[in-house]
Amino acid sequence: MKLVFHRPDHFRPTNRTSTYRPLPFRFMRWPGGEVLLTNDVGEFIFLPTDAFSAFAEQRLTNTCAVYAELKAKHFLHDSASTVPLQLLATKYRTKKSFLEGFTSLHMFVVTLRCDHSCPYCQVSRVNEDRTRFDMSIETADRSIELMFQSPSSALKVEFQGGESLLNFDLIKWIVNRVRERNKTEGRDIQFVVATNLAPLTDEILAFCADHGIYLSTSLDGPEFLHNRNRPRPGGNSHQVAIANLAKARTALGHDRVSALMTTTEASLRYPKEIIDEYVARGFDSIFLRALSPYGFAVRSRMAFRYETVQFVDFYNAGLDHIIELNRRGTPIIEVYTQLLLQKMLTPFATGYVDLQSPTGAGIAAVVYNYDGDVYASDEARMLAEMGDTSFRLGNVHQDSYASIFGGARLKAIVEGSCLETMPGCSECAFAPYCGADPVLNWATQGDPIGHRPTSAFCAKQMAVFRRLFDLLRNGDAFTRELLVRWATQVDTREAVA
Amino acid sequence: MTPGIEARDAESPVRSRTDGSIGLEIDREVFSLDALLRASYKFTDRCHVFIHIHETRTDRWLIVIRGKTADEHDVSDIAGDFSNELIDQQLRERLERQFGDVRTLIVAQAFAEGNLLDAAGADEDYVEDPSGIGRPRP
Repeated sequence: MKLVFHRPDHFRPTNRTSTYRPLPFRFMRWPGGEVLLTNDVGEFIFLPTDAFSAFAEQRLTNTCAVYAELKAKHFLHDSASTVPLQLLATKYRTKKSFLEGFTSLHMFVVTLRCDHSCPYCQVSRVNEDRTRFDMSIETADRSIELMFQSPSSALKVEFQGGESLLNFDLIKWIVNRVRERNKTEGRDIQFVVATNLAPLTDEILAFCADHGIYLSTSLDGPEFLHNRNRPRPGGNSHQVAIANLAKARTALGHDRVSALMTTTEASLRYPKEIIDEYVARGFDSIFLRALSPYGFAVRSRMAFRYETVQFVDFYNAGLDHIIELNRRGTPIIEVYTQLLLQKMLTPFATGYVDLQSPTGAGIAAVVYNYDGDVYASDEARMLAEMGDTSFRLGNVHQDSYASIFGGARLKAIVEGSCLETMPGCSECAFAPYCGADPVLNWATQGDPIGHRPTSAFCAKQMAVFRRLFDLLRNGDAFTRELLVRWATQVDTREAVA
Repeated sequence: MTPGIEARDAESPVRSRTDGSIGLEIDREVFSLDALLRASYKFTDRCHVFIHIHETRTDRWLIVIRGKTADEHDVSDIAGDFSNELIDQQLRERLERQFGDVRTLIVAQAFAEGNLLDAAGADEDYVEDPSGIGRPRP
């Protein structure tokens, strides 16, 4: 049989009248007389107001310019075939793939002791010598047992504090126990130690190197800012962190050590300086994080020392600077932006547990506290340190896996954290890219569902999404290509080559 | 003037009240209580919204919007924004009716083992192509 290839015109519809059915979508008015449409699988399209009206009223003709795009992105279907719905279901499953496997991130709070006294610390600080705030071997063993009852094929063990390395003996114990147990379990195991790097020794580094352990540290910016945000005896936390960062990279490999920053009121004036510090220290990414309203951040009132609009200004200035750095040949990614872009521009889910619907608390990540209490998230145990145990799921010594992970409390958290049913979120065009945080809602608004019109989290998210959509549409060619590359995780070194 | 939102006088689509609040009369035939509640929710950071059935014209909602600050000009702006938001909320309600159970069906299919959307076609063979997917189009 002879194959004939037709020109594109051959496939273009010729009849002007069309009967189509709109598929589920959300919309939002956009400045300049446009409307943003999004659907549950993350597709989006901007329509002029008149085209939107025609589409919504089913007056759109199949020869008009936007018809094919609406059809391709599954905003409408015009045949009796169920294939478009099958495709939507497949895309939806992919978007929700973070639910597969259940809890994969298991955080062990090995001690509350810390040598720093950061005023924004999200857990109660305790003097270094008070070992009653250390996790015991029995608690660690029972936590490991619970972790291996998770069906997830990949398990990430993250050691938290306090300063986790102050109880390094227990970290060694847990790593060895997990590796021994995994000989029969065959899971994909990853270890991460969250540390300020100050207690780092050659012995610790050798152990980390032997077991492929990652280090996650804190770097709040240049020396004056870091030392102000993160005081320790001697006033030299920046000097110590930088010196040990170099040692750690030499021992473990450059990419085995990552850093996080926290934005305090003092940070707000220095977005460029903070980012430049990350570049100077050889990092190719930075996460511009707002202060969380927990622990000492609340007691010292630091969480409330700046408004959302100030943080958004900080974020925007930081993102502008990062784009300019990339333009000038310095590759660096803003991690939160990258996470959001992955949700907006790819069919895939992200592994970021703090921005999911339903929430990742408990079902994606869980915390075993030093005393054996189990919390739905790191923020939930921070809340507990403030005396509020609303999100405590149980205790490793008293409760079974079934009662902790299948109990009424976790079910209530999950049921109450689906954006698809939450007031203000269910109709929001940004919902496919956003997430619910019942612990934050509870901590800031006294209600796990929260009140969107007065939510600082919602205000921040709305501002960031609007900025990113604006950049994707109106940014220059370099910016748009850069953001797409971030979303598709292409190394930015290629992007600026 | 927006259909379904009637002026209490010939000059203005909204009517200022003596206590500084704004009154809106909304046609109950055009706008549902659900749309009204959803629109009101969005404004609860800026104002207090009181929803009544009109005392004398029971085919209308009487919406009273009272600003949380004393600025009457702000309340007037809010009333305008509220009216536009109400239209969008009513449109969302109408669209949801058109979507029917499709959203539920897609989510159910996404997590189902079997084929909920086309049970009869679940066992079809792609070689036989009984649905004619691979058949050349005229």
